[in-house]
Amino acid sequence: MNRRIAIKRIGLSFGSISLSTGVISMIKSCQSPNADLKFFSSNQISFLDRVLEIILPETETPGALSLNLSKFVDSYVSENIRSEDQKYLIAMIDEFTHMILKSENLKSIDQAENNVIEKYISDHIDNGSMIANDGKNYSQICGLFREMAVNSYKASEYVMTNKLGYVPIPGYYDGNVDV
Amino acid sequence: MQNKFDAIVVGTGISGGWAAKELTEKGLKTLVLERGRMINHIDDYHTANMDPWDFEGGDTITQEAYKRQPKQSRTGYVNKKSSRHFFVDDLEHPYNDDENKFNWIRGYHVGGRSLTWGRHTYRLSEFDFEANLKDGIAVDWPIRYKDIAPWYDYVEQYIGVQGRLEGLPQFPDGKFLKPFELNVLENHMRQSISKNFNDGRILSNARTAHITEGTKPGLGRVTCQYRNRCMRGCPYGAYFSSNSSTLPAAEATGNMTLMPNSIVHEIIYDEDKKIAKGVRVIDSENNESYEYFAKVIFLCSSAVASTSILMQSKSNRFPNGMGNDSGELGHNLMDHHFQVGASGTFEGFKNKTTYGRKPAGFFIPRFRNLGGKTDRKDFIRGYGYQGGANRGFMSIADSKEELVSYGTRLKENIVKPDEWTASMTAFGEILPYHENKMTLDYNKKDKWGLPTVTFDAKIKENEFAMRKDMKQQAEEMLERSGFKDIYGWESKYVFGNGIHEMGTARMGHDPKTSILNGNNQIHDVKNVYVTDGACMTSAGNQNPSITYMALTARAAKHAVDELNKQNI
Repeated sequence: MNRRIAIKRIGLSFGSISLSTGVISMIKSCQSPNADLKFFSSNQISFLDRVLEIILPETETPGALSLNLSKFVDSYVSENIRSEDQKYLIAMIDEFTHMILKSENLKSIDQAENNVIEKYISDHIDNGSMIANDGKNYSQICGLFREMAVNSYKASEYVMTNKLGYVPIPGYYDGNVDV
Repeated sequence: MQNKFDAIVVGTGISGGWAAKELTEKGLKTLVLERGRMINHIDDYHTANMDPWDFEGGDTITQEAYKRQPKQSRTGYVNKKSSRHFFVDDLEHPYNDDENKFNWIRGYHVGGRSLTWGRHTYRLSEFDFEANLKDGIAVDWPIRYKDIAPWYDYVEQYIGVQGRLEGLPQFPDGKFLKPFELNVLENHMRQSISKNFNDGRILSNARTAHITEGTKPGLGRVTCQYRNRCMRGCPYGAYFSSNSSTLPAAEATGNMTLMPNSIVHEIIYDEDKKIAKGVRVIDSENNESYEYFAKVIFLCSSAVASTSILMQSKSNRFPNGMGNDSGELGHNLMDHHFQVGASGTFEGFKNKTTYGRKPAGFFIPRFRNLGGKTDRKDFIRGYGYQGGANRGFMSIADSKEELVSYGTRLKENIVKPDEWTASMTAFGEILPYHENKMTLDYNKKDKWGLPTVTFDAKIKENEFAMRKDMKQQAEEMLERSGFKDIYGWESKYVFGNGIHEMGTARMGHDPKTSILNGNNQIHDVKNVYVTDGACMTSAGNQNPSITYMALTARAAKHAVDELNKQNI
């Protein structure tokens, strides 16, 4: 098996979820950040937080960070991804960060400004022909970051109830509603 | 504890619940045995009120679930977090399918699969009861539609079935509550299909066992709230389950003794009186063995489990399993083959959407091999489609077309309404092939020392030819209804995946070729009735549960009449 297959499998499984993380748990975890991580290290999660926020930023409505999407991603990866795929995922994230560090001549990813990280995401996402300084292409991992962001966003209580019209107990059905 | 009863019912699912209700209401002191744990209506539906975001990391089949439930996981949906507890642990309840893969999807608990069933409710028709005779295959059903029709009426009125009257002989109408309405696109499809095909095919509302108006007897059963969380157990009792309906009715008579954790593995045969006298049971928790005795026994533990019990019930009179003079016990295993259909995008109704989550969409009843221009040369029998139309939200792929890769505009795009889509999947009849069978493996035993089931079944030319047509017609109906981007699919069907196991102890006229007679009695052991899927002589293409209910109620009446006449 190769990374291409692993990443495809992770992406597919992310695409199949229909569910979510809660605002309450988000508030709780904001008070004690990363206290209950299941899979990622706190360094990895803080990088992931920044990436997800670049993909789905705070506007007049909450973005990835406020919705604590990384917590959902952490649980999801912990429970649903095969252990061999988990290893690939970590390896791919590490490669991507190392490439940024090397290109920018930095020691730690914390030192990279958000606009620097955004530049690399912007270069590689949806661009299979982009080649980084290390000779590699990072469109797949960037695509997977977006997959994680979008699916956890759509599964959050805030988005489901405020943007997607989810009502826990509808009480009736109407198959012909004006938009 | 008392060990003598008037009746014993084995199993508490769709059939067992009905047997318990009917027998106790007719005054019989009835012992109801269930191999699994107790599940109380509402109290034990612990995921029923969880919203999507209450499942940390999503409502998924976790890696842990794949480990413990490798075979249940093959369905891809039954053992998500929200309903995993209603399906067996495959490591604890093994079976063998090395020869040909078989998905035996089970729930071992009070209520069985009545808690998690698909709830689609379609009567068999005269076409189905006559089919084997006309085609000259297998054996003839010993009953006809007129024999079961009043019992369909009876059970439908009791459980609550919503549906639309259509007046088609292959899709018999019943005693229906008002239907879940078709949405705007489904209505459009209904009109297009009637207009654009001249073979009489229609798109109707799916008929399901949900209450849509008023109430039904049981534990506070009221109208559907359109949450579409049925598989977790319904706190409103809006869909039919044994737990909400038939078992409470049996309990209310004061005549029922319900014993969970009781694995029936053998029916005891009385060689002198030539009848069954009781059952042997293992307590699943402490491994103790018990015997219970009764005048009449209803075997309702699902097709495969009931036949497994008959196979283990060996005596001098029946060395090859109770009732198995014909050698047909375990043979003629059936299911419905599916996982073939089509989906498409509809560009209209851009100013329309839906509210609420109805738990059923549309149904396209059988339109093949009904005579005249509907007859096919490439296959016999037929199939129906279940499907639905919906309007969802934009996806990443939609956004890509606008060259938006990330950021504010992506965030705005992905919560915009997408185009309408519709999808349908066909359910087709599998013929009763003698070679499709289950056997018992006494070399591989479960943790209670009981033999495990081995499956050997596959679909053949008739089903393969039918599948081609199933896919093609789905595509064509979408096309003629104005859909775009039509995608026909066919995935490999694994036997059992329809979760409609049928046959293995079929009904028939002749003890030489069948196990049960037209009243669901074992031909030569008249006080044993088998009324679950095991009894099916052919499969039809309709979801079978309502037929088990009707046959069970009919058989219970027969049993009580026979007891009163002292015939059994």
